[in-house]
Amino acid sequence: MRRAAILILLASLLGAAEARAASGSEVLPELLPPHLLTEVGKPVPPQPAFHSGFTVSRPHGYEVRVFTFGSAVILEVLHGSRSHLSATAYLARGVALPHRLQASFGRFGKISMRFRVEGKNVKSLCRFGEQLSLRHGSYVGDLEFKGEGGYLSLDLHRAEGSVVTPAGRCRQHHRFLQAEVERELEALSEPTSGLFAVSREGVSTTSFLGRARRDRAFFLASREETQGKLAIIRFATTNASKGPHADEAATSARVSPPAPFHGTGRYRAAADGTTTWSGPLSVNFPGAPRFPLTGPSFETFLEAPF
Amino acid sequence: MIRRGRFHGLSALLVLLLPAVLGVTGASAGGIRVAPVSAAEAGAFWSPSRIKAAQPLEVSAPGRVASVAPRTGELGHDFEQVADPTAAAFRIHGAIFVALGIFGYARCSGTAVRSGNESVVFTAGHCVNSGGRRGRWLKSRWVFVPAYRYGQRPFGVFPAKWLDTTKQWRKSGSENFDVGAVVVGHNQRGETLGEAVGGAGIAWNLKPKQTFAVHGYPAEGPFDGETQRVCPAAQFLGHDPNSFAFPGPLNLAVSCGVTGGASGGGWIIDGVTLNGVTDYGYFDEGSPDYGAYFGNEVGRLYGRATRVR
Repeated sequence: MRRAAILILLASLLGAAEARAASGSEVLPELLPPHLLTEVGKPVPPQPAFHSGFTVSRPHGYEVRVFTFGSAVILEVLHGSRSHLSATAYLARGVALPHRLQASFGRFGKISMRFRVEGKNVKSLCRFGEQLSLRHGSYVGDLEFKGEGGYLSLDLHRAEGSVVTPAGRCRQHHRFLQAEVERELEALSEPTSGLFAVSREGVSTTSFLGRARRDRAFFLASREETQGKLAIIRFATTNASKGPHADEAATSARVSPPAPFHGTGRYRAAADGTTTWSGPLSVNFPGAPRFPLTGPSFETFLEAPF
Repeated sequence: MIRRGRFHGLSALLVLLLPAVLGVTGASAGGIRVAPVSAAEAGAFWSPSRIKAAQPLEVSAPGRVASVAPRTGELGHDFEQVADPTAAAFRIHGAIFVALGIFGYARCSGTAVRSGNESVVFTAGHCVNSGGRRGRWLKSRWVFVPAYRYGQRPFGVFPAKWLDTTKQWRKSGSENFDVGAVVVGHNQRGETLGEAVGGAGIAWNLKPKQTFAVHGYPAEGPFDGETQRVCPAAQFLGHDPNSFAFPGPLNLAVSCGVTGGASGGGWIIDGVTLNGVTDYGYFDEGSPDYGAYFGNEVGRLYGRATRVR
């Protein structure tokens, strides 16, 4: 079995998000589907949380989100706006229970916080056909985090957050998802140009995608790596009016995406089938500024409309 | 914290990316018994043309897609052809073939494992069940052909009589548990699998940092699935970042350039002990080979398989 890098899917999803942003609609699901239940290895807790976490706004100009997903406690650092976004997510295994977050982020820090319900107000939601109970409250404990090179430093003992737990079934149709799928399928028939470059060293992967359709272009860069028991996933996206500029024979292309990207990447295909992907193209990830996106280790694919 | 009207970064992407992957109830506790088929009948069914038509099994779970064009270049240089698959160290590994009804035929790899019933084959979970809540048992014409080579079946064909996977693979399709076990019947000569080829030992709960001999029958380019191949000393490279969000032990990456068809191929340590199977890889040429960690669930799976008569 072989599968595509997760970031190819991220790319298409972000492309969909970008399309939605352009259309002004708000259809991104805001909650995890109910079957993505939190658990801590084994055994599965009898009352797993659906989603829990909190947001710390704008320390050092970043937004920090701490939340559970599956068996991971994720600390995600975001920078920029929805149209020019870069983010770094630190995924750690630990205790990811509805009312408790505990994990080590290795050399970057650790978290040990408990959720305290405040007030008796329980909000009821219906998402993906699941009835959900949303409780607001505070996370109390310790969060220490110092990012690479000290780009971000957190020493937090209290944060307002929420816990969402499943509470049965409810009626809700998913028409918006169907409409999104139909829109994306329709878009696939439109002529596009795209360039995808990927480099892998062991379990670490760096990838870049540029995709243009009509007068809109979308760029994505990503970096996935593990450091011991910690996974770090970085990604950056941006929209532009100009995408990869390729010649008709698809033998050369040039891309110069806007911030958070810098510089230009150049693709060339020689007559003997060899390709080069070079230039000073880089991207600013939180904690990894000017991260290079070209070089001889990249495997590159170019698609040009005809 | 949940807020409206904001772009939700990774959290939202994960929402979209991994639906229906974690924590779904409704799985049965054990495997299933397969309607008995004689080895002669199974061997006759798997004609050279059907074997040639068998495609590597892929998983259609969210977050995974089928492979892209065959790869070239450096890929496969470390996946060496086994000169004599009937030699003692290699005959325990074989090709797996299974019929998918109107969807044609599929193939995987597997390894015979020592057991009391002398009939256990270990492979990837997705080679016996498509995984997850809507997973289907792949029980039609499932056969194990040890030491397969260019149509030759030196030890005959062993049809499945019982299929099982880890509980987590069946209930959630979590790639961290993509391991399967099959109990097979006798071959055309009336021999058990153990009598015919022997079997590897099996170990679980070991440190992930091992040197593995990775075996398999890769069928996607540049390979053709007709010969057994081995990476004799594949090194542990680390864990797949994408496995962190899934429950269970983190899966392992090893340095071996495999392609489709090698799924289920055994990872041998110390020359005689099975301690992993090939599960997946990414489509680019530099991708390592990934497999689930052999932990307690694999031990339980082995225990169930050995009790089948």
